Amino acid sequence: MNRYIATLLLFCAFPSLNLRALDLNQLIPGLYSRNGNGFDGTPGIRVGSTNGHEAHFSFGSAVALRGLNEQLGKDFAVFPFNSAVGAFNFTFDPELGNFVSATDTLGPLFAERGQTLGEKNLNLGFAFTFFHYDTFNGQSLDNYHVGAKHLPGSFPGGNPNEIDPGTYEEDTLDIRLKVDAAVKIYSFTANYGVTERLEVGLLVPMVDVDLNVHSRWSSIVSPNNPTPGIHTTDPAQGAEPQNDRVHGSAFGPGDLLLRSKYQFLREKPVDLAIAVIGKLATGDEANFLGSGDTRVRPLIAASRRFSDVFGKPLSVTPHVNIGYELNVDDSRRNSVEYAVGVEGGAQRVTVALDFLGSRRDDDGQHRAAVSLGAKWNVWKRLILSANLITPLNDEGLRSDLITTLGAEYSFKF
Amino acid sequence: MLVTTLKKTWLCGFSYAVLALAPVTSCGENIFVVKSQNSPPIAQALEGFRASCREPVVEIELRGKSNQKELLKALGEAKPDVVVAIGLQAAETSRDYVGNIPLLFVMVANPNKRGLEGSNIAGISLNIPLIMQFTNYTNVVRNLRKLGVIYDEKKTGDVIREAKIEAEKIGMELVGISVNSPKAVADALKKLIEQKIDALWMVADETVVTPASFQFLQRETARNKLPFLAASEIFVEKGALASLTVDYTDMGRQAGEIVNQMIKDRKLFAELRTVPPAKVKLAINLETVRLLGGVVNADAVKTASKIYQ
Repeated sequence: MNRYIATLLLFCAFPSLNLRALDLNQLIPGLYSRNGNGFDGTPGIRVGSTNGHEAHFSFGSAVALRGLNEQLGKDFAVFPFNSAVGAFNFTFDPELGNFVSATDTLGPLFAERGQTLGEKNLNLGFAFTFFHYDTFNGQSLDNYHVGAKHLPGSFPGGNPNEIDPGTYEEDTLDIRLKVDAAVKIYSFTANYGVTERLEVGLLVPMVDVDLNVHSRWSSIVSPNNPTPGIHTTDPAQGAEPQNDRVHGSAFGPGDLLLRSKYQFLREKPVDLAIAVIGKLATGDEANFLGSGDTRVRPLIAASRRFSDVFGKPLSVTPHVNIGYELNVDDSRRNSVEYAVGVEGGAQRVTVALDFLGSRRDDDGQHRAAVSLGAKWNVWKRLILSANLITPLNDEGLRSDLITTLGAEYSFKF
Repeated sequence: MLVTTLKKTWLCGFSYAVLALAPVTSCGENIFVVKSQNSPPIAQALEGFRASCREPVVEIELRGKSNQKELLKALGEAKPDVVVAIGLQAAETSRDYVGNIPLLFVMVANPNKRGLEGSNIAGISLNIPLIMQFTNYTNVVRNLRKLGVIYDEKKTGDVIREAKIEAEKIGMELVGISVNSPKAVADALKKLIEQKIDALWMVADETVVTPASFQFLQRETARNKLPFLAASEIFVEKGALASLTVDYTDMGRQAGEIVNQMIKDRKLFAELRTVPPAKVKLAINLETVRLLGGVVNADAVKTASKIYQ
């Protein structure tokens, strides 16, 4: 129920704008399936034939393109989100018999630490994240190949259920795609310290997706085919044009994120907190603005601050997050999420390094990335941040570089 | 295994260093500096000490050393001319091993309560004399006659009792309310405001001052246009009106000068006891000054060593 209320509110405020008649998730399956310009208006690719047989690649190519689209869609709109900075903190130093500033860092950028904001502290932030998707399962999206088989049963007298060996049915199609997917996310965050140990927050992402797909099909003649010229790209023989191109873009709210964190251990010997992050399916799944699934991720965040490192007013804080994301709509897509990292610096400048990982239950794929960023306390409680994330492996839909620029300000009441 | 080897290596290294120094220091003075840890305040004090002390110095850091006792025993056996202990842990630990060697401690709060007394022990306390604090604050806050303080009797009751006596000496009344939990701070402040205090004074009391209670005190004093005189500069940066704190580098310099004089005239050390820091720093938050308006003496602002905008 909450999902629908949240969706309704967000969509009333920011209805998604689709600058094309089709939803973005219809673009790739819709290749070669429009009327006009030589296309026949049916899904899949129609290949020409010299013997007048109906070259049955339409179904295979449609399935291949739809499959690619579904796989891409699973990974689209899965974005990292940044964390908030802690409040002014100090400790009593028995050596000095007085209070000293807890030389602390400004916190990690894409992980949680065991500390909380502090009572009646409000942190408001804005972040701009931008990237292109570059690879899918290790294959470049600039030159991505999808194969399609011939339908069985078209060879006279052949097996109606299986491709007949030594016939033209062994020919295949190669569909080469150049997928240019650019994503921009404008995130607005608010976090509030309800008590000294409990904080709650939300993140409202506005997502801009631009998808441009170029496609070219070609026939791969099987060496076992005794009639190699039978499948043709010639329009005069009924073939659809080899090249197609689709473009679309959409802008609107992404998946709303709600979070809460409770610190139950303070510097004994680590800061330990339990957090719950909920992602509501408020983003338009059909336009890759949201994942389409509501998810809840309980996680444990632990961190330990080492102050006055090397006798300098520097602090180093290693942190670990481990959580399990439950997909309320599709439990097969539950995943283990983790982050291991360290931030170092002082209250003016902090550099953070994190290893971010996710292992989904459905495909068993492990997506690992490294994040490197910096935060700069430029004025009073205004903090600017910059961060880069780059993948450590090839699994899934990946961007070589995810850049985030942000600003946040803390208020105390 | 590795740890044991390292300990042995370190001890041997230290002993060799002591022995190797003997011929060098025989023509000058043999000064050992023991520091509790390598924190920024201690590093500043050591910097000040090195800048003013004319003699070569051997440093020992205690924190992280599991063989502290062995180190200090070796130190006692090396018979340096002076041991300078910077920080509470260094002072307390050194006291037990120096024997008759002169021990000069630096940066120790309430040294009289720590047993840092004796014919061969002298030092520089971290405590700024209360009368000096009140005099400075009366220069900052106009017509400061009634000063409020929230404290925990168990933690800082003795300080408050002494402070009341010192305040009376300059015609000021100190109104204290004891609390036993940070949750009681709000009520205590309300009562103090009802008693029409002219300013709120913070003492370094762990029961009273927590991140949450500080935020409350800072907010409420600002709302009531009440000068908030803090125990540490870190609170001035966050909105308290002023603080009076020690200058660690100058404390080191002060210790260096004592050592220089002691080397000139060894009898001098026997006359020395605990002395207060020679220099204090006044920090002021200018934004809070503007908020409080005419309550703050503009001339005092000009004398501040640190101004937060």
